[in-house]
Amino acid sequence: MRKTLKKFANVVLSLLFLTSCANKETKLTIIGENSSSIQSMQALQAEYEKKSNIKLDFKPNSFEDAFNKSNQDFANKTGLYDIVLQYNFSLSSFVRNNYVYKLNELKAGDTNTDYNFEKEIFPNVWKEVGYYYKNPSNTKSNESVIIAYPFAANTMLLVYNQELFNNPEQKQKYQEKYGTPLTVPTDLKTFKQVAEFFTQPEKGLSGVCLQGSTGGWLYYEWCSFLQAFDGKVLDKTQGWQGNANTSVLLADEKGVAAAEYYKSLKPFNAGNFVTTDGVEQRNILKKGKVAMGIIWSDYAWGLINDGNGKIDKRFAFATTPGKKSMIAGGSYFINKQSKNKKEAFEYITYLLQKDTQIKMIQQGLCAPTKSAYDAPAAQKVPYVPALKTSLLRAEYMLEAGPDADLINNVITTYMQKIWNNEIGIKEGLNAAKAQIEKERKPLFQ
Amino acid sequence: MNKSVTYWRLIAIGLVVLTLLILFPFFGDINVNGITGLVNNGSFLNTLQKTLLNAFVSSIILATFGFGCALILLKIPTFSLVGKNLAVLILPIILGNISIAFICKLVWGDSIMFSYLAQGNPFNKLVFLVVLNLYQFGLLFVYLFWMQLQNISVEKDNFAVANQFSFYQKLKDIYLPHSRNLWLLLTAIGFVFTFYEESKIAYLFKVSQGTNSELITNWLNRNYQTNLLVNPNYANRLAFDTSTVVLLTAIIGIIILLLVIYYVIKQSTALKYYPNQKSIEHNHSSFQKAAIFFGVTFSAVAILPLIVTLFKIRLGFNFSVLGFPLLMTFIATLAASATAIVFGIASRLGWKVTLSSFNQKSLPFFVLLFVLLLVPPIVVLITGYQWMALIGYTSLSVIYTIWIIGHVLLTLPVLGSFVLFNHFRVSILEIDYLQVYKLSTKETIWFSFFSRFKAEYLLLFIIGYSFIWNEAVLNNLFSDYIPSFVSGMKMLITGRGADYDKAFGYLFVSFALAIASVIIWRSIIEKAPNQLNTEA
Repeated sequence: MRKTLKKFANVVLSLLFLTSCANKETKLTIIGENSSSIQSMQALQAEYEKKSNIKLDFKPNSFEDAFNKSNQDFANKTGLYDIVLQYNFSLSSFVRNNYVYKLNELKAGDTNTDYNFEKEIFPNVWKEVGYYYKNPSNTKSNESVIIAYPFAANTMLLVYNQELFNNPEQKQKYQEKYGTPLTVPTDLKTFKQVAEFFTQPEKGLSGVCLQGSTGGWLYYEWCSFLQAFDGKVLDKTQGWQGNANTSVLLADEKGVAAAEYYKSLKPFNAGNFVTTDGVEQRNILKKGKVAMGIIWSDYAWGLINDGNGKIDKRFAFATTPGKKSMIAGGSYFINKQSKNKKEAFEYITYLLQKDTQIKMIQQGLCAPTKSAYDAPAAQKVPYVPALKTSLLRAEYMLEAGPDADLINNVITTYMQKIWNNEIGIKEGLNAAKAQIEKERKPLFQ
Repeated sequence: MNKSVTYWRLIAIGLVVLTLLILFPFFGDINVNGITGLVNNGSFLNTLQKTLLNAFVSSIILATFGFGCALILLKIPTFSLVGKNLAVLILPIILGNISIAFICKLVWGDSIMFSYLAQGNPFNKLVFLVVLNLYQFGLLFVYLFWMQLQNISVEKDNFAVANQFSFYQKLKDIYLPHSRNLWLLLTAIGFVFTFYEESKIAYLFKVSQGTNSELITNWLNRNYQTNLLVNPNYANRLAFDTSTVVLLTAIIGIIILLLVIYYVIKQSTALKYYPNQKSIEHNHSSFQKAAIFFGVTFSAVAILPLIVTLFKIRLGFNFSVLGFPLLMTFIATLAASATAIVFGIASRLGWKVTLSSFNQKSLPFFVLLFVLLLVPPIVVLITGYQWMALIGYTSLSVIYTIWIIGHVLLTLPVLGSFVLFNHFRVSILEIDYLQVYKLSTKETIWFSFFSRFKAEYLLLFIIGYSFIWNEAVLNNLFSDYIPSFVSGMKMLITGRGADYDKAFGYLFVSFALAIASVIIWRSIIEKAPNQLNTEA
């Protein structure tokens, strides 16, 4: 018995020793949410390691974990992560707290890199996810500087079930009922009409599957409708702008109209609403009994790809109803505590080259560079044409200041109450506005 | 006080102090002004009140369920076929929160009942949560109470038969007094785990303020995320202030709960009222049949969700990913179990009278031990980051060592109190006898503890393994270095990288672990009938 225990202890100690004696070669540690964005980077890991002789160590985490870990790493100055992939709402905090390098600091002294890719980056997207106040303590001046390059350009898309839309019987019924052909909706009126039409309980069909869950799902989706009504939550032109005194527009007539419209979709909705997040919505859509959904562009890959390279051809994509799309996504942030700043920056510039971007699109990335979308290989990805159109027309819609999460939570709270008839629409929006006005002020320190 | 007693006390106190030292950054950063501001925060107070009530009611339901069902199973002998197979009742606890939530989603997620619950009021969600907890904790409690009742001495049993005790008499004079300590231990454990419930309700019902379904851990996590956008120091400070109120509430809550249970049992057993009832022994055969029926039913309930889930599983997962964390968990469990045993022995020998049972005198000791368990998980996470900032992530060996030490200290309250509870069976007389005859430390430990509690220590190891494997805070903190089952599973069933095929792989590992634990425990029971049977 003793001998066995001794052997076991020896094996364990040897293992611990061997694993701790890692090579001392240059290694870049990259943290981000486990998503198609980081997965597309991982797909090219071997290629880059061979090319550069630099080891890449990816740390995909859940959103919350990636968010907590990167923030704690920055604050504690532990320098664990060289590159942090974070969304636009983290930008303000990272810059104000001086956690990350600005682009000009990274470029300084570098004369070898070809920066031609910069003109290919969607300018609207870059300005929203990679710029910030030149002087963060003076938010009255709108002068901004580039902080970082975007890693992904996300937006919301309309996904529809082609099998249902191309069904001759359904087409005929629609024509008979509404006097117009069944087409993919481009405006709010048609969207609701199509949702109503496909709500056929006798066949187990629903018109739409909305995301009513907490965690940002309801907030983002509702903001997409608010944008279609030309409304805004706060009075500003970029998500990262604003200060403690920025006006809250949420409860104006556009907000009320958007909330009324959103609630009017309730009879056509599939799923449990308050428990439906992006994953749940995807599961419901995959069952093939729902005509439409509004989904995040970086969820589209998971919807159509079965994980073994097989594409589900039932689904097709279009821009969201209305004339605008929203901008989301995030940037590559280089940690000021990184010991491999130069290598990290080189790696990022490699990722933004057109050839690399085309390869990454084929692995599910919503690329931030325009020209990559036009490559024939990229065009084969079913949602790419709709994604590019959406990104070209995309505008600021989502909050990205230090109050972003507060606003997300408050709007979710009151929209859920409105949906469940616990509060009236105007009353609910006014209460949300009052709470946001009160609670956002302490967050601007 | 002789030297050896001082020595034992120093070991026990040292371990408790070391454990509480984890919280040093927390205690150091509490801001009294921030705490007073919470008095006007309606959503916080409402959530805290709901959580406390839920923990109170749930823990009492869990313990009552455990005791009640154990009485039903009383007539099943430990070493009968059904008795040995009741080991399957420990299976749900080994699965852990996140696996149970995922199983629940797979089995009931598409049902009308689930849809009704999801869209219904928060009370229904909490009732469903109690049902899930009855599966997860309740079945374990049934098993532990049943084992405890099986240990009632033959003399007492014969006395009850000879005097034609009614069921009421047996309950009042034998069963309740015999299981009082276990009642208190299990109620306390039930309280801690229901008070800090987070992942099951969050995953299944996507709890929110809008549906008034948040519990305090959900509330704390949500606000922490919000405040992180200002900066981590601001978020940490507010989390510490709020957590202080939560911690104090939890401490007061658990003290009140333990006192209520203690006095209810004390008063019930002290009653002199004996209604005229027939002896239950006349119906021995039918009672035994009923017990076997319920025993089989409970076992089926424990295992059925796993079988249903297995039919839904598609495996698309590289199992080797979990090989390393399984090995590390094994090492950490060995260390944690050994520490808990040392702590249990030191405490028993150091305070032979005070720690001879759960009573008013030993209550402060247990509350102190439970303080770490009562600290909100968000505080443990933040203090973990702060400790690591101090120690540094210098090498993998340092990280692995800290991970193991962290688990040893974090599991000490649960594993230590489990060992202490078992060590109550070492009587004061026995300790006096050992001291009078001046047995060496080695002999004392061997005769009074190791030779007697082998099976209990193995059960401790199994429970410890499950705790460490399913632990969500420390494992999350180090998940970039030691893949965490909970973090990995969470990532695969929620968020942008959700992949059910891979999540099934994680679930499969969880099943395999649970089943292996049951098999090991069952084989121990089979091999050691004499040892288990002699303890009264």
